[in-house]
Amino acid sequence: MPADGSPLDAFPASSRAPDAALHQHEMLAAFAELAILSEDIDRLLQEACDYVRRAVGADIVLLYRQSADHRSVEVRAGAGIAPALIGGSITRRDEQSLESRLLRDGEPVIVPDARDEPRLETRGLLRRFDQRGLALIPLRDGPGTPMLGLLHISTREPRDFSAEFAYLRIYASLVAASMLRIDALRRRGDERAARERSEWQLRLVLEGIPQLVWCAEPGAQWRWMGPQWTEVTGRDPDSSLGRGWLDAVHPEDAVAVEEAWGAAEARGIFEVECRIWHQHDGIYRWYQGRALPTAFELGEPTWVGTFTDVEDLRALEARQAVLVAELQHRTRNLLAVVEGIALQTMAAAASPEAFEASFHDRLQALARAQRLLSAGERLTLRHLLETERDALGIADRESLIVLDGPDVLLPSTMVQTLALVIHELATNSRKHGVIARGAGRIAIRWQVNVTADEAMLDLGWEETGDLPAPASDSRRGFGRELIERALPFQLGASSDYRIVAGAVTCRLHVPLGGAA
Amino acid sequence: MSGDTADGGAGTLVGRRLLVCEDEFYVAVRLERALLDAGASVTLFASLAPALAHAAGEAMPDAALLDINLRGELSFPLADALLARGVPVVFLSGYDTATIPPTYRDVARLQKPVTLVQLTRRLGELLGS
Repeated sequence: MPADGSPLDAFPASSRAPDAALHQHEMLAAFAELAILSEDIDRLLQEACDYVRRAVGADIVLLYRQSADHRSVEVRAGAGIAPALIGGSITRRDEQSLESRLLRDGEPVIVPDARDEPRLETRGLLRRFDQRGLALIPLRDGPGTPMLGLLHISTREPRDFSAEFAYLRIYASLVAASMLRIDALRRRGDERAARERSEWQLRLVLEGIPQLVWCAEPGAQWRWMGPQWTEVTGRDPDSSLGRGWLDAVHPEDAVAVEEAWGAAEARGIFEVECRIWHQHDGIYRWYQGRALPTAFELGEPTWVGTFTDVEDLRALEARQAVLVAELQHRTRNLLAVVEGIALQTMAAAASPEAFEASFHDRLQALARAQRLLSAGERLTLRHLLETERDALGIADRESLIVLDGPDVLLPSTMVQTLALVIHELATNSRKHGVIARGAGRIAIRWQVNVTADEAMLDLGWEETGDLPAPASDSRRGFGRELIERALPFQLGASSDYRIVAGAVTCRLHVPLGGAA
Repeated sequence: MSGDTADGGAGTLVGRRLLVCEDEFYVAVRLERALLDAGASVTLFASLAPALAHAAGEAMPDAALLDINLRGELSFPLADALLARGVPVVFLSGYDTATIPPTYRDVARLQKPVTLVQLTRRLGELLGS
């Protein structure tokens, strides 16, 4: 069953004619050439079966290959049998059988008539295929080499293969040598494929990581860099080799880089932060450079290193430093305000009890203002006024206190002072005015007047009802101090604050732009 | 409020004209009170522009007390103008003094919260009284 285009086509089936010996030698020579050149093991084994079958005029020729555990043999190729049988495997059971001895000791088997030989393990199989003359030749590349399997030659008629034994052994040796050679070829191919795969993975990592990767010899001499360097900096690789890469470092950081290299050997690590020029974008960005000495050659290390972009990280750190400084500033100012409120409240208080109550209320107002400020969202005047109105905690607050005005965003600098002002007006009302009596009306109205120069907030507190005239008090109250001095000082505002019988009015005129 | 006693620095600054820049009302009022009690006259500013205008005018103060952050503006230009005309300056800061640029390393500085005794003593030293 030769494959298409087989060299075997040149040889007619043997007729055991007088020139049979010559014919056999020609076939062997042709097969030897095929065996030496072939790289396809399946094709070669099949050719071997076909050649042998024709060369000696056998009915069935099989090539068994021994399994790795030596427990079974597999039919790898065959001539004179149905192709479906190829691939089948036979497990050896009898260690003393002729087949076992062959596979163990390399002893060939020549049996003229299988019916007379009880030690054959494949006797049943031979009977099934009606085979009697049998030769089994070990497949090995020579004495001392591993036993690969066996070559089976059989005939329907009884036959003694002793005369052809030497000839068949040459076939078996050629097949065994080719099997070893092709196995080795495939192993080398597998190894190369594995190496290529592993190199590909390594390159994927080296070129895929977002760091700029490089190798250097001592003295900051680059001898290799990943493609990231060129992608990011726009510098071509050739001019960056050696000390060329240092041209991309910001001149102000050059000293730090040199110092880091100088200290690297003693420290066992190169570590520096420096700016690297991005040619594409025309900007410097901050990088953290790190390298470790590896792969010593003749005592000299190769430094394997990376540059990692830390620009955003540094910007974040800078922003945080500003925030911390701002927080310190606000905290200390807040303490100063608390101290100021305490002193002013004390100066105006008639008794320690009065101080305690007023001071507590004012701290609460201050705390509400801080909450509004730290909420982070844009704060409107209405929101601030509603917060103060709700803080009064009275049931009919919405009928007593009317808010009327447009949405105005408050600059954060205004929030604290304005909240305290509203708190003082409400406190006064709770002691003497509309809120105390639960009758009358407080109208808080505001509007924004925009002139060419600036936006002014006009805010009015109109409290009307059956209110007594205020008792004359020589001390300037906290609220009046706040409205008449703090507001103008702090916010550049002007104010008009009057308390008469039947009415409390406070009109504020606050620049919105200038105070922001 | 340690050291905030009426005689903390009484009389040490008699007749001195002081420029004070501080944008926080309660802080400014306390500074003003303390300096007035010490016998000085005080011109108070809460923002940079009017203080700069004042510093460029004819009535030069004898010394200046400057908060560094005035409603978001830094008072360094004012310090430059005053120092250029020979007016001694004391920085008053709510920040760590580390945030003051190195060019002002020789300028006196006080960190908030400052006691009033510290304040009048420092100004007295600067003015040689």
